[in-house]
Order: sequence, then C-alpha cells, then structure tokens
Amino acid sequence: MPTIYKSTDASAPVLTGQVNSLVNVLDKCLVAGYGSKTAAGWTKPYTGTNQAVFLQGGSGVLKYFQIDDNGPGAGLAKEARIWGFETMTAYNTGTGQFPAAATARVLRKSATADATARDWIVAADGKTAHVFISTGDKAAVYFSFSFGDLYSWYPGDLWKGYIVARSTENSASTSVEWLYWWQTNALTGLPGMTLQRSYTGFGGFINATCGNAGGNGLLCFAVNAGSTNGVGSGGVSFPNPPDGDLLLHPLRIFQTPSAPGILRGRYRGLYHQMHTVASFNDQDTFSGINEFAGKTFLMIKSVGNPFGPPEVSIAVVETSTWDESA
Amino acid sequence: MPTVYRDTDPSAPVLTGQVGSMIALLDACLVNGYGSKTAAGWTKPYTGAANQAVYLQGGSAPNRYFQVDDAAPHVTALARECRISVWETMSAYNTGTGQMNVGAFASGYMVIRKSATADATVRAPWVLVADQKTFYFWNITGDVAGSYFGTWWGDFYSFRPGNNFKCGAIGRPENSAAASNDIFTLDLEQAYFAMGCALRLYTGVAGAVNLCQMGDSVLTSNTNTAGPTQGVLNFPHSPDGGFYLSPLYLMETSFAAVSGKHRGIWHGVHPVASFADGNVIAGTGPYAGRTFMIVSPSPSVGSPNPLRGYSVVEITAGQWPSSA
Repeated sequence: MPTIYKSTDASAPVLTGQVNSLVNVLDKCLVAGYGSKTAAGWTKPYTGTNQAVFLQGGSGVLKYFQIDDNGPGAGLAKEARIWGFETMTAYNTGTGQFPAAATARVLRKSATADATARDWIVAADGKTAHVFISTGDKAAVYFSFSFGDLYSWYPGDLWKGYIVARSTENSASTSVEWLYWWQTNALTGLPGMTLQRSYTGFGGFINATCGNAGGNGLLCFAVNAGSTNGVGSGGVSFPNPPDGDLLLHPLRIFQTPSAPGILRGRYRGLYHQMHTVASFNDQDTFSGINEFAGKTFLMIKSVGNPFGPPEVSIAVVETSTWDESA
Repeated sequence: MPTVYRDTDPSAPVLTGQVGSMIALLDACLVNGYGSKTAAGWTKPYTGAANQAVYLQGGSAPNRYFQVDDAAPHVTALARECRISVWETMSAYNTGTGQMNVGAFASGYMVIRKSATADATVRAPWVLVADQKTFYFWNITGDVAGSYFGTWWGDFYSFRPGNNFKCGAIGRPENSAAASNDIFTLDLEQAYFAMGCALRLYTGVAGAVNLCQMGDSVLTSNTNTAGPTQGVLNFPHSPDGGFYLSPLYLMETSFAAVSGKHRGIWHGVHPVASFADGNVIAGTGPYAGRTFMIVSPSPSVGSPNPLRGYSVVEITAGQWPSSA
C-alpha cells in the first residue's frame, strides 16, 4: 500500500533550492517518517555530504538509488542528480550503475537556489516512488520524476529497476519533463528514462531507447490533433457521455522503440486518463469501477510535459495497493 | 456464438461479379445454412425485384434491417458491387423508416465490392463470420492482388445501457477499385474521420450519426490521422509470449465520446508479417481461454502507405457479448 506524502502534511519536511533539502524530503518519506506519516519502508545505508543512498525495502532483489543533492551541476542546488546501482558498499561505490556515472538523471527541485519553500507530493511504497514538485518554474505546474521497480510482464524479471527524470541540467522548461509524455503512434524513446537492464538480463542498462506507451489512441484527440506527439490527457468529454465513465489506462513502459517493439510492463501506481485537463482539479480523488473496481486514485494537476502549449498533463496516482510483478 | 463461413467449406456458395451472387452468399450464411454449416440466425423478410433482398437480425428485439441491392445498381460498376443500406424498420423492400443517410452513407448506402470484373470469375477466398446480430465479411476481389476488402454490418457493443440503436455499418464508397477506399481495417488516430455510420447517437435522438473506430494507436507505426490496423510489437511478444490485442473502440459523431466497441473484431498490435491468413491464435493475458482468427492482409490504407493491416476476429464459442 503506498503512502501519499505532501508538503502540506503536519511536520512535513521543507523542500527548497538549497543543498540537501531533497535528500531530507526523501529521507523523511522513504526511511524515517514524520508527523503521523509512517515511512515507506526503505533504508538509507550510505551517505556523503548532502548525498544519500536509498535502498528498497521488502523481499526480492533490492536496488539502490543514489542521490547527490550537494549542488552537483550547472543548476547548483536547484537540482540534484540520481543514479541506480545493483550492489553498493559505500556512497558512489558499487556495481551495475544505471545510467553511467557521467550521465546522471537530473531532479529539478526549485526555480531558485534559495530558501523559497516549494510544494511537493511523494507517492511511494517500499519499491517505487513517484515525486511531484511545484518548482516555481511554471505557475501551478508540478515537475516530476520516478524511480524504483516497474511492474514487469516478464515473469521472474530480476532487472526491473528504472529511473525517469531529466536528461538536461539547469533548465526551467517543461520541454525536458518526461514522466507524462509519449507519442501517439510508434514507440519513441524518452531521453530521461533508464532501465536497469533488459528483461533478459543481458547487455547492461537501457538508456533513452525505452519509454512510455500511454493508453490507446483515445488519449490524444483534440489536445493536439494533427501532431504525432501525445500527452497524458485526452479529448474525451468528462464524464464520457454514453456511460458516465472516467476512462483510465495503465501507463505502459516499452524497452525497444522500433519493430519488433517490446513492452516491458507498466508503471506501478501511475495511470493515464483520457479526458481534457480542464475536467479536473488538483488532488481530486475517485474510486475505480469495472476493471479498476476496488482501486482508489488521486489526480495531480498539472504535471509538465514537453508538448504544447499547453505543456501539461494530469497524473493519476493509485492510492490503493500497487501490485508487484512476480 | 459466431460461426465462420468460408469459400472452402463443402457446399459453400460461390462469389462472382454477377448479379445475385452476394444475395446467394448472404442467404446461405445468414438465413439458410449450407453443407454442415448452420445459418447465423437471420431472416429474409422482404425481397424486391430480382437480386434484391432485406435481411433481419435474429434474437431478441430490437432487430434491424439490412437491405442488399445485388441487381447491378450502378451503371459503371455493374455487378461488381452491391449496395447495402441499413434501416430501423421496414414494411417492404426499400420501404421503411430510419435509413442511415449521413457521412459515408450520405447517399443512403455504401457498397460491398464483390469482384474486380463483372463476370463469372470466381472470387475467393472469402470469409464471413457472423452471429444473429452482427457479421463481418472479407473477400479478395481481384482489385488489389492478395488483399481482402472488408465489410461490417450489425450491432456493436454499446457503452450506453439500453441503447436500442447500437447498430451500424462500414462499407466502401461506390464504383471504386481503390485500396484506399477500404476503410474497414482503418485505425483512427487523431483527426476526425467518418468511416461508417450508426443508426442513432447513443442518446437515441432520431437521425443517423457518423462513426469511427480506434484501436491501440500507440503501438502502431502509423503516422498521423489514420492507418491500417497492425502494430510494432514482436510476436510472440518476447517477455511473456503474449498475443496483444486492443478493443476497436467506436466513437459516434466526434471523438469527445467513446460510444462502444466492436463485438467480434480486435486490433492486433503485431506486424502484419507475424501471421498468415487463417491462423488461429489462442488468447493470452486478459484474453486467455479465448480464440482468435487472422484475416490478412487488408490493402494499404491511410498513412504510411504501402503498409498493410489485418483483421483479428474472435471465434470463441459463446463470445461476442451483447451490451445491455
């Protein structure tokens, strides 16, 4: 069962454009807990200066996610960097690093390198975390990243770690926000996605030639008619007039972009909704029906994406249990 | 349950470019049966002049009417084509109410292309899969070498409970041999496209409406607007051995409302080269326990050309669910 952590919670940690503030937020959400919120069940086995390694909890093959929040790049403390590792013995010492040391994924924290507090939402369980930050770069828009395990369609997949974040440093633009972006046809890689390995286990990490495959084609009507680009929203009226439904689809992940394409699986707890962005408010909640019966959901509006205007999507986060693949 | 009728069945009817051959085929499949094949459960309440007939759905009401003019109705196409029209009620051949008459059916009809030539040349293969409410028909006419043209007529699965007008059709425009007019296996992507027609909008307000269909476009290599029903996933899908399908959703009038889906055909998201015509594939994942048949290829339609598509038709006993 995931926990939804918010900057508006009592005793919530404060996220700013200062060093270590993101490590502190993740530490409180994933490892330590705060106020009435229990931690998601991760540990923090290694640290550096404003740097930390977070290790998944629970059973199975656990992956390490290392975050450098010491102002590591051109964005200074506006941004942090993230990598995954398969094994570690100390901060920045380990094997199976993904992506390579020189091509860290970038986590945008704040539009300004100062003490201005930024609203955030973290949805996490012991294996996966989705992070949304209202950085101040674009009014009322969350920038986002995600890391942990995906839900693999390959039984016994031992290599299902991933990171989706930015591949560009020191940018205030939504043009490098990849979590809620895909194309309506053919599979086009996300510059900001890294998979730990192929489902076969061979060949090391997969970088940028993997990506999102949203719902079916219903998703993109009207929002961007005439373009091959898609966003995490759609043109269907809400509620869908014939039956009153809210149309959802799992947000799928592929690992081979061209024929023969391969779908690796899907995100745990992230979905695509097919209605116009204007249909909903930030943090609307709803319960699923039909194939989503028994599940509950939270909407996060708006989430930046590269396409537009309007350059925004709605993220749909499941607030009931995120299932784990075998 | 759906029945598969083929030209290779013992005692199967023969399709040619002569008047009446489509009537004979529909009589045999829908109304009378032939050889060991039982009929799909339709009736033929009315006939007109020679080679003109009306077919009526079977089963519980409401039942809708499908009129066929196979008497060489067009001065140029002659018996290469027959006209098909759809009516809510009828009291005699060509007499009734609620005839579909907008968009692709603006003339009141579309056509089934029977043959490239108006003669006795036998056209095969053909495949008709039907139950008492719906049929899908594929035939190789000789216009495009090795390519099936396609037709749908009958009920779809409506997402609107109590929709009494969940009936539509997709045919071809009249007097055309062009592959590009074979819109039955077209997967809409973004821009609006009036592929076919339904008797009424889901609200039931009188008047026919445009209809278009949409599969899992994200998993195709089509570019923009519309392209053939095919895909890019390898087959069998290597991580899990899967056979991946999407419903073919239907939208009436505009893409702001998802009205339903086809009852018996699906969008296969593997490349057309993955399958041979007639392959029978066991369903996987959410479709485990169900059985599907490939009809392939369809002609090159939409973008990009010359990519071809194919149809996936469910042949599982007891399937083709009807909406409430």
